[in-house]
Amino acid sequence: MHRRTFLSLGAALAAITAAGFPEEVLAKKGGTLVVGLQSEELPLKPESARSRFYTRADVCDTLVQLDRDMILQPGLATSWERISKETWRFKLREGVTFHDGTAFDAASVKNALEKITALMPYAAGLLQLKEVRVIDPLTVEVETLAPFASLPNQLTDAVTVIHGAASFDANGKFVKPIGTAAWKFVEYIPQDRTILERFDGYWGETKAAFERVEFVLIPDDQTRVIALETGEIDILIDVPRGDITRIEATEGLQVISAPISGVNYGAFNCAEGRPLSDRRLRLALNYLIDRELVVKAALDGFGRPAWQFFAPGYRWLPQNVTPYRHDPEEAAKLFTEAGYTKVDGKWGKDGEPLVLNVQAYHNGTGNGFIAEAMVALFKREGIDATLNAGTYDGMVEFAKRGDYDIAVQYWTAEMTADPDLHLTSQFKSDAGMNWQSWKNERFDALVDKGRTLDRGTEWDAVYTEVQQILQDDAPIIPLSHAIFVNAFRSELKGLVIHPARLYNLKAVTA
Amino acid sequence: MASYRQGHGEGRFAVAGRRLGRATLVVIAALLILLPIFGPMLAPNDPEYADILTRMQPPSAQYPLGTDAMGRCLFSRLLWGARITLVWSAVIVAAAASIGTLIGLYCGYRRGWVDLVMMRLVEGVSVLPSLAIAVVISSVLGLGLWALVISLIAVHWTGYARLVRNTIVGESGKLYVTAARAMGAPSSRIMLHHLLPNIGSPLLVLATHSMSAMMLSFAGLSYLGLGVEPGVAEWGRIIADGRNHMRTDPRLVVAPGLLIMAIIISLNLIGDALADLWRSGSSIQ
Repeated sequence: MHRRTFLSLGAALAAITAAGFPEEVLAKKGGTLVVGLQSEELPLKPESARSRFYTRADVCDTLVQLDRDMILQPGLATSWERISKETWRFKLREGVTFHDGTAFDAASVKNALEKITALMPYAAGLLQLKEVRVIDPLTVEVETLAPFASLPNQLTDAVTVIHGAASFDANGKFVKPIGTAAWKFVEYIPQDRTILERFDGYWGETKAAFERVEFVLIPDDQTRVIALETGEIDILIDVPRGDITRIEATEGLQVISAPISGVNYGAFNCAEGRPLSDRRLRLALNYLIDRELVVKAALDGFGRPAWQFFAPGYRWLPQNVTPYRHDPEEAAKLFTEAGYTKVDGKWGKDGEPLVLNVQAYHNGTGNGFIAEAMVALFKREGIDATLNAGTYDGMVEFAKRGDYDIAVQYWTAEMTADPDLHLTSQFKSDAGMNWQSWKNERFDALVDKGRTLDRGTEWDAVYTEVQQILQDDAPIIPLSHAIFVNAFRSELKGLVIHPARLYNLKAVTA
Repeated sequence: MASYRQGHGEGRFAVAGRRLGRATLVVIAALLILLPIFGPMLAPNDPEYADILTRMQPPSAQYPLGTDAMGRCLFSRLLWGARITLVWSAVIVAAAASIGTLIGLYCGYRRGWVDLVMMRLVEGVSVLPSLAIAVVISSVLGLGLWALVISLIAVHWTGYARLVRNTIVGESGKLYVTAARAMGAPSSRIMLHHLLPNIGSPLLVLATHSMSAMMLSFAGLSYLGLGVEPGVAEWGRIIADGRNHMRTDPRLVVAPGLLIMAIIISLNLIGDALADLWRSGSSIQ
């Protein structure tokens, strides 16, 4: 017997006798933490979607970070100040190295931000960069196209992570993530798994306990649960709602859940000629649907009934907005005002029954079930509706063609602890993702103004009014604010839920 | 020993037993045909009416099989589901059989290069797993009932084409065909009036058997989310809806599962009985 094998066997034995069964399981995996996911992490495609892999999985760092109370904290930048209306100055962290051994400095920030904004229209819209200037090796100035107060918040978004120079090829194409954070990217096997390795040169205080992390794609909900129960995976992300109470009661397994940034809502097609071009009808639907029932039916209660776009209770957002309420009488009144009558229990106008075309898609947040519950409640209240739920791309296709009345979707609305991102990318009349044909000039003007203002009374006033316009003009029907539910093997310690859905696996120990 | 007692040596009880078996099958077949027609009438509740306040109820007088996660009556959904699953499976089988038969007739009678090419195509489609091709086709065509129907027809006509073609090749040499040809009957008349009636029995047997396979494919694809809209009472869909709670409330998947199983077993039994009938018929001839 080789000496090494003997030693490792001895170590394994010692581990078993010291802590019993759990250690044995982990020892077998060689200190690998296996995480089961419903949808794939795409480490090689920052441009494919708003890939949050880099920060979720702690491969790359952003300049600014958000703590669990959604307060800005130093990341790769240790401090920042607004030196003019358009310019922010960032002081950078010393002694940080990339996974490939190169040093992190002001030039890396300039390179990464320029490359990523050139690569992705989304990043360009997010940051509004005009110029990134290297002042000295540890100071950069970022100038934006227009006054932009929420830049530090935007720089917490996963697409703004600072990739090493070798992450891009000579043509500026993204090759692979080379970050500065706790885990090194090792391999991505399409439709199967993403493998990470601990980075021993990580600058942060929390050093990862495990040697490796594998993110395994298991799209089917029941298969993912069984994988946890049989020990194939250690952590289950997005527990299927129907299994939560059962897993909680299972010995050796634990469930962790908390509210996070995210809202499932139905976007109304406000285009001319569609029934929901009438504001009264949009409001009526908002009063008609009991969100408590939606959350109960679709998510077994593991969601927060949504009566407004941004979830209530965030300290960084003005709270004096009038939420919707369940009020069928008010809804009936609005229907009548809009010229609708109820014949044989069905709402209709001029002898034509109202039929709503609902498009949705399935994801880990139960988006498809939420749409189904909403449609079921419509039917109960006398509104006929058809539902098509496939993929996100499928829904976008219908939405872009305008061939829908309600598109049920999920967005992480509060992700950067700033309202600007989603208001400008989803609701502004010229926004790329505004397929709703909703246009409100006052809203557009306020949103444009809001992003130039520093936080304070004026900022509060602007965003109070903005939120109230969303309530009053009703381009959407908010349905559920997200609750993130994960399960794990009880021997793991240190799992927390971050409102921006960061897994923070570096803090997990066995 | 039963195996020695076939044909004339069969005992009286065995004959009676088999007749009873046949009678049972006829009754089952009748019930199957009637289920889509009368099922919805027997349903105590609206299958799509969701009363979320009464979700996940155990079986009761009002809800014979209880309610699902959206608060819909499971029993009513299963009865209504018969209409979609059975009727559409029948439509697909009929369409696949018609297309396959016409191609098989032509190829079997005319032979030549068309036959050569078509049969290679048939082999090509047959060796691939049909459910997988159907998934590919319906994802190209987009979601919806029509995509599902077309994709299933596209993979299921081949069995008929091959069966018909091979039978026709055998039949074409027979005297009645030669006679018809000698009398100057056009090819189309020979194919449709002389040959087609003579292949009815094997076609019927194949159709009955493939009906059960079709129902499984149909339910399977809608289980995967490729067929009907969410919320529609279709058997595969009902199982898909129920699986999220199957560990806590197995009733939601067991009930539709048992129903599908029972119907598929009966369809296969009917198919076997028809095959027996056809064989005994052809041996007399």
